[in-house]
This record gives sequence, C-alpha cells and structure tokens, in this order.
Amino acid sequence: MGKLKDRALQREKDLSEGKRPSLILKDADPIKWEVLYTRLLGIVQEGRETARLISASPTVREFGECVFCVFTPEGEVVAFSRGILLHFASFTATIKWMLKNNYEDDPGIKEGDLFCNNDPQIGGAHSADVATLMPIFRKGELVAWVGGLTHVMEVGGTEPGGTPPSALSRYDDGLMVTAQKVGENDKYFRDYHIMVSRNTRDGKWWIIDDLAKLGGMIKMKKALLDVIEEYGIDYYEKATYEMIEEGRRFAVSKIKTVLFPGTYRTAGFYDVLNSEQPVRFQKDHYMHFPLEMTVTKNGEMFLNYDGLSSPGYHANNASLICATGLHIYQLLQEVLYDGMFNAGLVQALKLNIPENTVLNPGIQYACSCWVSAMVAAGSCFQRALSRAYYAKGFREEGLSGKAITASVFAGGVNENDSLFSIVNFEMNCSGAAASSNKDGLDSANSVWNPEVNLSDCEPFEPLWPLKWLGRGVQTDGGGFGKHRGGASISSLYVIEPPVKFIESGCYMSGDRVFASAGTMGGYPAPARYRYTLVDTNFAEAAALKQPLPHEEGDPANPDFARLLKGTLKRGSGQSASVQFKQYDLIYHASGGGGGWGDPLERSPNTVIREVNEGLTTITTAENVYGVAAANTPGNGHWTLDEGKTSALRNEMRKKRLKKALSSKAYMKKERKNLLEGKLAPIVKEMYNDSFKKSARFLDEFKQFWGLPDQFSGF
Amino acid sequence: MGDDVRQRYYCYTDAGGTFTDTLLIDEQGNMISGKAPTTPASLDDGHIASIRAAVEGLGITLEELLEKTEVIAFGTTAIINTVVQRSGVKVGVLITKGFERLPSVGRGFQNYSEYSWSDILHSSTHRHLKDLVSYENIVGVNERMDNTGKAFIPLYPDDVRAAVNKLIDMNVESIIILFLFSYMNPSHELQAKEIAEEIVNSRGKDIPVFTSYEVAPAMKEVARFNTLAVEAYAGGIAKKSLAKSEKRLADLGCKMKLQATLSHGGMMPASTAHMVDTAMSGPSGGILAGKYLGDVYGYRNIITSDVGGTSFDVGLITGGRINIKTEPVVARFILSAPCAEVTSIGAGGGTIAYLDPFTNRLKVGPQSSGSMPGPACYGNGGENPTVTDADVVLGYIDPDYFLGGRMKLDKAIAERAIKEKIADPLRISVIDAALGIKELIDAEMENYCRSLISSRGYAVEDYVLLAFGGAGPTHVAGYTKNTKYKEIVITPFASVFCAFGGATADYSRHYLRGTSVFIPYMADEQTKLKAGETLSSLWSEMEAIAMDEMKNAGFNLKEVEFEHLAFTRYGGQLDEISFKSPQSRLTDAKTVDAFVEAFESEYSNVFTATGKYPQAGYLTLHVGLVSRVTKPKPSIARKIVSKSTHGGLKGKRIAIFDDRKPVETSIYELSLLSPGQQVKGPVIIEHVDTTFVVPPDYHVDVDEYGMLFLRRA
Repeated sequence: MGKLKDRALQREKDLSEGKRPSLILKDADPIKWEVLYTRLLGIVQEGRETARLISASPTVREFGECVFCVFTPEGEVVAFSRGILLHFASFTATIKWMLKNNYEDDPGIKEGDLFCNNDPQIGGAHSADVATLMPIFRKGELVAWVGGLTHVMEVGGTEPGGTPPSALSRYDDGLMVTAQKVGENDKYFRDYHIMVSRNTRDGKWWIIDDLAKLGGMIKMKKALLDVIEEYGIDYYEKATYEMIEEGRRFAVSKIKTVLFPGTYRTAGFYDVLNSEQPVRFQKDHYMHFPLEMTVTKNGEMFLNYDGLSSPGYHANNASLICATGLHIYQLLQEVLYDGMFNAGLVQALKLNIPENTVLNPGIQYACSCWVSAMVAAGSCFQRALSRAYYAKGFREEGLSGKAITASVFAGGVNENDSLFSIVNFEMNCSGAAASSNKDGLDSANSVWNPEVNLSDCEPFEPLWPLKWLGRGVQTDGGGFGKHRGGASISSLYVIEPPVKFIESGCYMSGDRVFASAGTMGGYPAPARYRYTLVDTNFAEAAALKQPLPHEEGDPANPDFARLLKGTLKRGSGQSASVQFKQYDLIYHASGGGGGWGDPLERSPNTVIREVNEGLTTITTAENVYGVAAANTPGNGHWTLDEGKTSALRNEMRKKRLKKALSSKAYMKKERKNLLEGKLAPIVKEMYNDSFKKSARFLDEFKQFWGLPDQFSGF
Repeated sequence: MGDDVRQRYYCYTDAGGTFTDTLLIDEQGNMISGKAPTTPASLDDGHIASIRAAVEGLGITLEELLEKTEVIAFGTTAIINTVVQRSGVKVGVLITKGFERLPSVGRGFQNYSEYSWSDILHSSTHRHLKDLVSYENIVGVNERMDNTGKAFIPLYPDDVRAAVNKLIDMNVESIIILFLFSYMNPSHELQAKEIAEEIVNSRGKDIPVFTSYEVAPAMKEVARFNTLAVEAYAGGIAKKSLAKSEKRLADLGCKMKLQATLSHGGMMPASTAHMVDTAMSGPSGGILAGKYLGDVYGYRNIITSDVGGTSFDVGLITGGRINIKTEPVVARFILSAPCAEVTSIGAGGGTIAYLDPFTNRLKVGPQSSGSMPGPACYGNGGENPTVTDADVVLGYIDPDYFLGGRMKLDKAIAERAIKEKIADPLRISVIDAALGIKELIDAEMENYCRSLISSRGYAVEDYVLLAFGGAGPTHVAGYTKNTKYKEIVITPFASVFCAFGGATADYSRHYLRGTSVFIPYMADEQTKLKAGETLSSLWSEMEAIAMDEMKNAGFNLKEVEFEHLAFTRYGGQLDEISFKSPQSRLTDAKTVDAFVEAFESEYSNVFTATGKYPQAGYLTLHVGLVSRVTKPKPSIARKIVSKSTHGGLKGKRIAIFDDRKPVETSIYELSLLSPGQQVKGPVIIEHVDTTFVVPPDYHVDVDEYGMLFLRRA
C-alpha cells in the first residue's frame, strides 16, 4: 500500500469527521499567505494561456474549453485557472482513483510521468474531455500534481465530433484512455500517440492538444517548484490545506449570508427520443429530476436527488464526477463567484445522488451527451437557488430555468479520401434565463462555461462542407414572460461543396420536454427540434436568382419549406448522424432560457419592436402577449395599436378567470386523473421508475396527492 | 533648449481623457512638455492650447515654434470618444443575407470583455453592447462566396438596389457593405458598391460607401464588420477633427502636414489615414519608446510596464520587433486593425484595497477610486484605502511633494483609511496592512508580466524590463522581486515616456489580407510553387496599394521600405503566429522552403520543445505588409559621465520596506543625479511626476543618458 494512498484515505476520514485544519499560517501572517495564493493563481493561469496558444481545437482556442490546476499530493484542487469550471471535480477524482488503485506500486508514479484520462466515470464529463496529469516531485517526494484538460474535437466512437448521440453504451463513446501512464520524462510515449492516431478519425485534434497541455504543465511545474523553494515545503504544504479550508469557509459564509435558510424543492425533466432514430435500441426515455435543496442557518447546503430516474441505454447519462462538478460550478456561477475556488467548495456542498441513476450510472452506460442530464439538474438547482436568493431579498438574482444546449457535428470522407470530423460549438451561445428585472440575453449563455463565445463562420467553414446560409437568433426562441428568456443562436446550413460522403447529426436532447422552465408565470423555452430539407432545388433557385431561405422565419411555416422544393423533415433536436448530399439543408437551433413573470405584463412597445426585428412572431404577440398591431401597408412594418392592446389584454385576463380553477379544485381534478391513470405511457414509466428508486419519494407523492395507501405505481 | 535660431523641433501631442499632453524635443534630445485640459467637443482647442503651454517654457512664440517644427503629430481620441459616447453618424448596412444579426450577436466575449473575473463568472451581469448600427438599418442581400472565393450564390443586384434605396429613405449618412469571404474574392462587394454609388448619385445624395474589402480585408467577419462600422460611424468625425487642427496649425505658420499617430506605432498624414487605425494610438507610445531605447542600448527583448492610476499596461518587444496584435478590443468591440500589443489589468495607484466580507481576506483591486474621489489621501472624500495610500503610509511618497508639490496629500487620512478598513479588522498594524497592500498588488503585477512572457514560450531571463508611468518606479522593485530580468531600467522622463515614444514613430502603415494557403507536409514542388505564387501575388497587390497611398501622402517612393509578413499555423490549429518572410517573392520550391523554415524557426522560439507538428502541414490565413518611410528621430540627450557620486541628495525620511522596520532613508532628486552616479538602497529618488523606490539590497546606476538601472546588490 503506497504512502500517498494512506494519506488520501486518512484525509478523507478526517474531513468526514469534521477534522479540519485551523488557519494558523493565515492568522499569523495573512499577507504572506495571500501572496502565496496569488502566486499559485498566476501559475495556473500561465499554464492555461500557454496551452490556448498552442491548442488545435476551436473549442479550446475560440471557446476557452480548457482548464489547468494545481493539486495537493492527494489530488485536492488548490488553485484553478479560468476556463471550463465544471471540471472542478474531474482531476481530483482521477488522482484519487489512481491512488486507490495502487498506482504508486504499479505502474508507478515518478518524476516526469504523464497520465491521461478521458474515462468519464473516473474524471471528466465525456470522452471528449481529455485530461493530462503530471506529478511534481521535490527531492524525490511527490509534493503536488498539476493538470490540464481540453475538450478534443474527435475521439472516435459511433459518430464524428467527439460526442456521439447514437452511443448506447460506454463502448460506443469513443476511444477511452483510463487513467493510463502515457509518458515519461516529460514526454509522451510514441506508441500512445500512434494509438490515438489509429483509433480516431482525425488524430491531430487530440495530439496537438496533448502537446498544448504539456507545454502549459512544464511551465507550471517550474514555477511551482520555484514557489515551493521560496516558501519552504513545510509552509507551502500547510498553507495549501489552509487555503482549501478557507475556500470551504468562504462558501459556507456566503451561503449563510445571501440565501434564506429552508428546504426548496424543484423538479426537472428531459427526454431522449430514440424510437425514430437510426440507432440499435430504438426506445424513447423520459427522465425525472426531483431535487430537494436544504440550506441551514449555519450555511450548510445539502442537495438530495432521491427519486432520480435510472440510467438508460442512450447517450445522455452523466457520471457522478460530472454531476458533482456541474453542481459546484452552478454554485460558483450563481453564488460563490467572488471567492476562493478550490477543493473547499466541494467540501461545502453535500450531494446525495443515488447509485444506478442517470447522474450516477454504472460503468456500462454512455455519457457522451451528458449535457442534457446536467442541464435538467442544473436548471432545477438554479431555480432552487433563485428562490433562496429571492426570499432573502436579492431579487435581481432570481433567474428562470437555464437553456438546454446543442450543436451540429459533421464528418465524412473528403474528395481526397481523408476522413474529417468536427463539431460546431455554437451551443455555447444559447439563450440566457430571464431574471426578475430583465430579459435573458440572446445567444450568449452556456450552462458549463462562463466565458461563452461564438466562433466566426469564416475560419470554421474551411473545416467542413457545411456553409451557413444564415446565422441569427431563433424567432420565439426564449420562454415568454414579462421578461422573456434569451433566444438561442440559430443556423441554416447548406451542404456545399460536394464530398464523397457526409454525415451530420446533432447532440443534446430536450425535444418534447423542456429543462428551461419559466418562473412566476413565465413560459418555458420551446422544446428543441431540427429541420432537414433534402433533394432540394437550391442550385437552380440560386442560379435563377430566386428567393432563397436564410433563416427559419415563422416556425409554423418555415422559410426553407416555403421557398425551396425538397423533402422536409422535422425531427428530434438530438439526431443521430445521417447521410446528406450536396445542396441539402439543415436548420438547427440550440436552446432558449425560461421566461419570468406574466407575459401580459410585458411592455407592448418592446413586443412590437421585437416583432419588427423578427424575434417574436405576430401570432405570439397577439396570442401570448396580448399585443395588437397594425401592419403599415407596403413596408411590412408593424405599429402598436394601444387601444386594441388594452382591450385584448382585458379580454385575455377575463378568459383566464373563466378557465381558472381554485388550487383545491385543480388538485382534485388532477388527483382523479392520476387515480384513473390518465397519463401518457412514457410518463407512467418515468414515475414508476422514481417510485421504485425511492420509497420516500413514493410516500410523499401519495401524501401530496392524497392517494390510497396501496398505491405503488401507475 | 531653444537658443539656436536654426534649432528644429519634434512636436508630439497626445489627447487623453482628461489632459492633452504635448512633448517638444529639440535636435539634441532636450525635452519640454506642456499640458492643457482635453476639450472633447473640439479637440483642436486642447491640441493648440497644449502646444502653447509647452512652448511657454522655450522663450519663443507658438508661431516661431511651428515654423521650426520638423515633425508634428497628434494622437487623437476622437474615434474612441465617438464610439464610447455613441455620437457617430447614422450608418446603413448591406450584409450577406442571413447575417443581419451579426452586429448585435457579435462575438460572445464582447458581452463581458473588460470585465473582472468574478463578473465574468457571474453571468447575469453580462450585457450585449449597444449597437453602433440600428437593426432597422441593416439589410440582407442575396449573395455568397465560399472560402475559396467561388460564388455559390450569385449577387442579386435587385436586392442591392432595393436595399440602398431603403437605406437612403431611412436617411442614413453612410453605407457599409460586408459580404462573407470578401477577402478571398471582393467582386460582390465591389459590384454592390458600384450599384450603391450609382443610386446615391442619381438621388443627389452625398453618402459615402465603404466596403469591408477596402477597409479591413481580413478573415473573421465580426472583427471585420466592427472595423468597418467604426470607420463609417466615427471616422468622418475624427477626420474632420484632425483637419480642423491641421488648418489651425497651418494658419499659425506650420508648414508640415499634421501626422496622425496610429495604433500599430506608425504615423501617417492625417488626411490619408484610416481613422480606425488611430483608435489605440495612445497606449502604443510606451512600447515605441521601449523599442527606441532597445535600439539605443542593443536590447532585443523588452517588456514595457506602465503603472498609472487605474491600470497596469504591459507590452512586449521580442527579437527587436514590437508584438503586433491583429484583433485588438477597443471600447469592448473586437476589431481587425493591427495594433501594438499592449495588455492591461486593473492595477495602479488608485486601486482599492478591501477585505472580503465573508472571509476577511485582504484583496487589492481591480476596482479603482478613479480620479474622483481618488485615493483617501487626496482628501476628496474617498474613504477606501488604495495603493497610493499605502505608498504614503510606508513613507515612499512624500505627501508634500506629490506631483512635485502641485498636489498636497494627507497622510493622516491615508492612515485612518487603512486602519479602519484593513488593519483593525485583521488585527494587524497599519504598517503591516500597508505593506500587505503593496505586496499583493506587486505580486499581481509580477504574475501578469511573467505570464505574458512565459505563455508565449519566452524566458523572462532574456528580457529587459522598462518601468514608467506615475507609479511604475515606485513599485518596480516589488513587481520584479521574484523574477530574474536581464536588466531593470527606469527612465528619467517616466511621465512623458509614452509621448516620447510617439515622437519616435516612423511613417508607416500596416496592411492585412485574409487568404487560405495550405502547404502540406513534404509537399511536392508543384504544390509549393502554387502556394508561393499566391502569397507573392498578395504581397504584390498590397505593395501597389501601399505605394499609391505613400504617393498620395507626398512621400518619396524611393524611400519606401517593405516588410513582408505571414500569419501561419499548423493545419488544424486555431491561432497563427506572425513572422517575417525571408523573401518578398516566393518564386520556386527553395524560397517556399525558406518561408516554411522561417515559420518553424519562429514557432520554435515561441513554443520551445513542445507543440511542433509539421505533419499537420502549414496553413497561412493572413499575409501582411508593413510599408515604411524612416523618419528622422529625436535623440535622448547624452551627458558626460561625472565623477560626482553624491549629487541630488536632498534629505532623509523614515520609510518601511519588506522587513517592516522603519529605516531612515536618503531622499534624492532625480533631475540632480549625475551620469555615472551609483546610489545604494534603501533610497527614494523623487521626481515631479514619479517616485522611485529602491529597497535595501538594491542599488541604482545612472548612465550617460540619465537612465536608471535597478540592480540587486
């Protein structure tokens, strides 16, 4: 049994028993302590910036999808760079896994070694997240680890792009490197990169990113050893554990200050519609995320997912490590954004995610499209946090549900017989949730990375045979409300020029069931879908200078169906890869944010402006917002009719009153429906699964609806 | 200065947010500066007043000075003022249909550009920028080029006609045209421009029409659009402002053309420059001055560090070349306009220190007290302790000699602010708290400098650090404490260092063209020839444009020199590195090989031992050209090395350094130090515009140019 393994186990035991270090060094000299922390932040930032300059991936360079850290010998994060913060828990899990599995003995951990992991059950979120770890030795003793992670564009698997939606099990997710030693003496093994080259469609993405990470980590190693020499190893070691404790204290203190204590419950849902997809297991799945968040008066926070749905043979499961990381990131983004980011935050949050659930699946399940599961969970968590903020009086921090995010990928065979594979991270620019005092931002938000960005089209187009016919903001794309949810970026592509073969699909679900719920009367954002138009007359229409489609237009009568001939298919937002040919069209939008407040309270002038800008349809203006408009003949410009709007809104309110039921009557009606089993079969299946998972959930469900004792499911 | 009737002068003026500064330099390198309030409504008033203020010290009239002026240049803020205040003209846009949302969506990071990290993380604080162009004035036109320059949707001329007529009906004052991939094939943009101008003329209007190809023919449509929009929105206003200055100067007897200083560190006659190229002219001065000093001293690698009131601005000169950034962020917009790379963090004299309300951790910045109320010791009601307050408490800054005594500081208020807000809650002494503020801000700045050099693959040991700005010399020992620079240099004219740099600029312009030239690994000869032909023809086209512009600007074409640049990456990478091509024409496989070798060599310099991946091939996505006419430069006055070693001592006072013990410290007057003199720390060297702190275990050597070299004992 290795020495570090013992230390790691002892540390875990101590923490579980509440044995935490006092802040002796900080209290003795807060300045020296703080300067050391500042220096450590400088080191991780230096690593990240170096890697970003060398990296291959558009996701790294353009969207900042990478992160670098310094760890304690046991793998706890001491300092975290900017970047994709959901990986807070990733590296730690990998290091701990290696220690627990006796890596100190075999294959050994020595100076100059490099370890790689992209197994999401051990670290990361999906196999596209490739981490490299380097142990740092001083005088023969392992004193720290440094690590870097980048999102790689191609990792093999059933489909190109790194995150295959048709993956049904782990074995479809792509090339999996499980905490493997991949280099010595600060150099990668040649056979490791040969393996990568031969088992992915385009190995350069992975290999150049590996080199980028190594470049960053070599710099971090030197700088870290300099700092350790300067401060002395004893001071450095003690101070880093104190920093982790300080991170925990900050989290507890801030939670206590800004969130109203209590128990908050939210529920989230999402779906995977595989019954009509070209996959082996054609089955639809609905999943249920019942969250109970408890904030104590002392600032402790507990999240309990008792009753969470089972994992499934689809691509949209998330590993426990990913789920842990994303909840911490969510907490960072909403509450702890101005604190010390380290392992202390992990200690401040207690999570109960039962085993064999969609957020804690067994080894065999695929995780390539984890985002759907985590958006559903993250959106629940966000709404619970919003309520706790709101109750404390921080109204501006109240937010609706976050957007599901999704992207198009493509791959195939070029004219010169080479394979290509790429994913477009437009999903980075989904719509933001509306808040209590403003609309959500259009096309400017993602659930896992605060530094959202959007690549220009011009550098991207040479990489794949998809040409943008238009890139805009989805009409009616955000949840309606007094403050509407932000709408997502939306793109219309044409396949051009011809290649030997092209396949394209789209990942991340949310097709019938929405994650981005509305708040205080606001609507959820629309469910996701995509259109394809094949066998088109695009070339002829362009040559004859006839009108061409460039956007979706009115979702009820899309431009591409109106203006071109061809076979139109409206399909699931998450689409397994299918083959296309030159001049076929693909329309795709990511997700929108939930709305906040009653749409009838939205400023009519704002509604009309957005109608004129194509952000809202005239139908929605009238039917949802109660805004009457007149069309100026000749120029298609709409103007507000104030009198009619006022009358329309009054009429709509009266209709609501007529239709409205008291809570008591509503509950009675719904109870009757439940007793009669008036639920869609797939919904029954989802609830029955939750009942089986949790006796507590079943009991509370029965209690809430007043169901008979013998009720055990639908 | 000014005794000789034949004396010639360089006159360089820089308009800042608050003051407009002028620096006059005579042929011997003597300098005199003048200052006047900036007059945003009419920048020419502040410009003339500032020159007038400088000339007062010369004993000649303004007219006499202008008659003797060899070079007269102006760094204008007109373009930034207009963009920040959103006070430009009404712009209409013709854009590739389907991309009408491009201006408002922009790049995601524009929603949080220039934010602190905690605000970036707290995404509900993100905001879209207020558009320069209103959505109703953006019209899509059917057309489309692909990335090779082939049209897969032809231009629909009727769309153009309808769009232009609509924009004229909307009373736009300027029309811009941006089509995707126009840098690969501009024919659609140029055809649309021709149609637009015909309609504008036929309707009797005077509306300028700009194309993206003519203003910024580079890849990446958002930056290209922003550049075009800024030029159309604010360029006319800036040009008129410069023309007004030029006319007033001519009326006063100035015979020289007014030069506009440009963001990349050159200057061009104000009447010929693209105004968007002036947007970042101010910060480029420091790095130009650094380059000039580098040439004088033979330093090839320099990091310039300017500590002002609110920001810490850092620039790099590597291998004798100023790092050029092709996509600077200006007023939160990303532009495609070559710019001397100067990056900043919020750290300066006015940076506020505070305790984290949840953990009592001491934090410094990035918030600043600004000029009002400013640091607590200014006595303007500011209650928050700042870096300047710490410097006063530690005895570094003499409260009675701040800005040469022009502004009295109140040490008691500084002490009270630090005591109440930092020391008492932390239960430490005021001195320890002040030292903490200093050490933390120094560590932040040190990290930033190290990261900037190191992340580009260079070694800090190879760099000379130049410190200037009001607070640069005060903190330079602190922010270089743990970094072994080759040399640390402080200039005797720290406060006008940027202005001096501006005066050293050559007449030059940078041109950038997007392209797509791929040279595969082990390419055959035919492929190499084709690549060489494409690159050569692009440089040739740019040379023709440059010669035309130089001719219009009145330069002797025989004096024009060119530098041929390429921006290349390994295939699949997302970022290029720029390098100088060894040949201006790649006519055979050998010259193409030399081109590739130059890339590999530069890549190895930047990313030593890692990252090389020739198997991926070489992709050149931009080519660049620098056209230059070398201008006579001012020199720095050189003095005879004195044997005196005691000049400038003017007193003693108590100061506190890292060991926290009060030390009686000698105070010197910087202007009275003699060339050849060495002073040993601890010592404080004062100047009217800055205070140079030399801790124990350091000494300072003064050379014949008056430069101060901070060295460890």
